[in-house]
Amino acid sequence: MIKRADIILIIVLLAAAAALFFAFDSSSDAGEQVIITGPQNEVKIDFRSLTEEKRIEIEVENGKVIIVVDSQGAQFVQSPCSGQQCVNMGKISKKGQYAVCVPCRVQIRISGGELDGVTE
Amino acid sequence: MKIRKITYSALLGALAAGLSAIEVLFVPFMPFGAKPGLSNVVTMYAAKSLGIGSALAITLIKSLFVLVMRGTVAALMSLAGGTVSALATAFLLKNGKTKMGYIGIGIIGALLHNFSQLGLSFAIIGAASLYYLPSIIFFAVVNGTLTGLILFATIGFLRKKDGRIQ
Repeated sequence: MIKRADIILIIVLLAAAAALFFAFDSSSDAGEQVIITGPQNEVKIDFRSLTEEKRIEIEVENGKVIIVVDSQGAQFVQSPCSGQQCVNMGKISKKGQYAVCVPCRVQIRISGGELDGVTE
Repeated sequence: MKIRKITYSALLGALAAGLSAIEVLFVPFMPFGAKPGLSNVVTMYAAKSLGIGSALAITLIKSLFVLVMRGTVAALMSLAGGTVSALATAFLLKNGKTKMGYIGIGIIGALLHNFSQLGLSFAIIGAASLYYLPSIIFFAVVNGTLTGLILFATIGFLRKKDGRIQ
């Protein structure tokens, strides 16, 4: 039932996933600025200096996306999308980290350590 | 024979749609909103026993169902992923020379399914979607193994029940 080609495929793919995971886990560098990109505009917030949490509400096609930013990072807390991947991604705070809501076309990322920099 | 094939495809299409609806319930318990890909078992089975035409028809039925249930983006994702993975698994299952077993074919199906969705999300939101890449590959391995095992069990079971099904 399980053939040798299957086992080779599994090993190769798991190795590739692990390698990419470590490549993207850009470092433990703490970021300074969070960039929130919505369908219409982009907001940049220097989150380290925030003293209280900030709620960003973005109107999208089927409702409202809510993102909370505080001095520890940023995260999606509400989205009208069906998958809820964005909310499940949790808080991001390190350089180059992303959280994305594809259906709502909203993304948040921490500036620094861009993907291009990682793949170079 | 033709009518038999059409009714059988319709039945499997309904099964795929039902499974994809059930799968949504798993999302809150899975990291990164991964889904187990159970409906892929149906398209793989169709590709094996009824041919590529039926597998593509079932993918289309499922995507239309997703369109009604979960909206345009989800339906396009389902259609893109489903079509690519149906074509690939049909090719591998029908090709006598393939060295892959059901598990390998399940993994390739899941991987191509996820890659085409990633391509689509790249088009919608840009490079940030690449962040999903490691988890996409990992879950393709886990879920592909699962669907491959289910497919293996299903084909064995149905062959015993009904000799006409190949």
